[in-house]
Amino acid sequence: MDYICLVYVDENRLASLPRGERDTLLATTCDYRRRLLTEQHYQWGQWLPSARLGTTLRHREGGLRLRDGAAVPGVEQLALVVLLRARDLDHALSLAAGLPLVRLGCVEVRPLSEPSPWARRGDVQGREVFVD
Amino acid sequence: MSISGHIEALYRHESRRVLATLIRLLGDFDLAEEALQDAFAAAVSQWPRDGIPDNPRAWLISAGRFKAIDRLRRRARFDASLDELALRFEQAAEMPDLDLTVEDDRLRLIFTCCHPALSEQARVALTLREVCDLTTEEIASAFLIPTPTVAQRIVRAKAKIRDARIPYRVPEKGELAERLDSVLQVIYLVFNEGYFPSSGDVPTRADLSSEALRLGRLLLSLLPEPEVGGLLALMLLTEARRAARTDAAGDPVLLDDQDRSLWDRALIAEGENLVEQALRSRRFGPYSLQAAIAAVHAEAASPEQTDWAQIVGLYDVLLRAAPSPVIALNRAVAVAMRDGPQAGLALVDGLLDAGELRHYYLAQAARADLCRRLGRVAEARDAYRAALALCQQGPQRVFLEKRLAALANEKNVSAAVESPRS
Repeated sequence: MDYICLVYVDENRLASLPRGERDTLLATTCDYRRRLLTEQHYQWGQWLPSARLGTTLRHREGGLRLRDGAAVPGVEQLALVVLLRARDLDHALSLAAGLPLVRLGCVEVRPLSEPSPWARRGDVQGREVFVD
Repeated sequence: MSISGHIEALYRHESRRVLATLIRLLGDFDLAEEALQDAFAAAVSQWPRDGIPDNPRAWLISAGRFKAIDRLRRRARFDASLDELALRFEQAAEMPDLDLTVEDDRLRLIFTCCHPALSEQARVALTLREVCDLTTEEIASAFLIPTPTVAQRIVRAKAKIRDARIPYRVPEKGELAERLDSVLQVIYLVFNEGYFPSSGDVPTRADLSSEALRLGRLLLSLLPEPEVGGLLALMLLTEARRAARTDAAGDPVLLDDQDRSLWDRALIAEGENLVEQALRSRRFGPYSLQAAIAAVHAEAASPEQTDWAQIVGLYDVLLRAAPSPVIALNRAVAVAMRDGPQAGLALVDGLLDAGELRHYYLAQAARADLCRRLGRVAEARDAYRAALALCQQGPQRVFLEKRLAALANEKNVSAAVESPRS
């Protein structure tokens, strides 16, 4: 099953890393990605630019409202998204724990579960909406 | 015994085992529960005619599995994907020797219900429902929360187990300690809610505590780890004092004032034995240490004969193993018994100043008691009032109010003249 790993870090902490540590972080991340790829766990991944570059849009009565910055305020912001294939949640969690960036923050692991065949209708509302 | 009596007894003793195995075979809690009910219904209708099978448990598991396949087949008329699933269950290799795997399945069920990816409340509700077979209504009334709240917690937990694919397995060696912690925490939480209810008007709820003891014994039989024995010992040694813990009016009695002849010697002996085993293993943790402290209390024929030096020493080890302000508070109270109230009060005030215990009524109650013993009546009164403002539990409030009222008869005496209790 596929799991999406959302890695959150404190951007200021990331930016203030000494050059050497920054290089090590990038290099170990590359190595780990390669390992996941060989073991056929890695599906897709993306570093995100700073949340400061984000623009958040909300529909309000009277029109759209735009705001500078991330949708959810906070010190830790989404910095890396990785899609993994794993046996079960424990397996996915152990793979996610190995992402070097997680040492600087935290990772939320969410299942992209296929609705169980006997799940009652309504249990998994709206999951098909974006599927062609 | 009549056949229906036999089936009833079987349900009581075997239904959780059968359920645990069906969950593994079918991979779904709800489907397994339906299959369990179907299997017992089949027993009720077939056994009077055909006789009781040689291995009733295996019969029930097998019947449950076929009933689940039937259900999937019937539903497959509306959903073709179920047909394939039913076929898969049918073709699955014949079940291996059931008696060998069935106890593993019980352990799997416990670890899945107590998985740390579930919230603490969900773990407690799911474990009581699936492992202990308490009804949703029973869980709700034990924890004084509405039934729909419990039902929703259970439904959501099962949905997460299914949709996030929380595995049905016993953790491997490397992760066992951490995962076992989560299981022990659930059991201790159930016990504590029975022994020190967080709210409501009854001082203890024996039903929840006995459920926790049953769980502890089951877990120890399935997984004989030292900390499991330590937790069971702690619960037994605490449970042993239940009869002495409340007076005739149902009000709480402090440890020092309890009638020790009411303590249950059989439970104490069983607990002491388990503590010794855990400590000897040298792989013990916080539960074994707390059990060791309870055992020191249990050994003393009177409060005066308590080995307070040993208790303080055990608290020192415990604080290093599991630092927490509540344990630091308990240590402070033990220091007060060993070195006198002045020494204890200094520690309690330090903890209150640090802030974490500011909203913990027992910290204020401990301060009040130490001030009272030092003759600092005005400060004691303020602290009892602060404790009352924080305490939600009926009988404990009555106790604090009594203490506060008794202060009115005491005069303010100089702190310096009181000597330590020994």
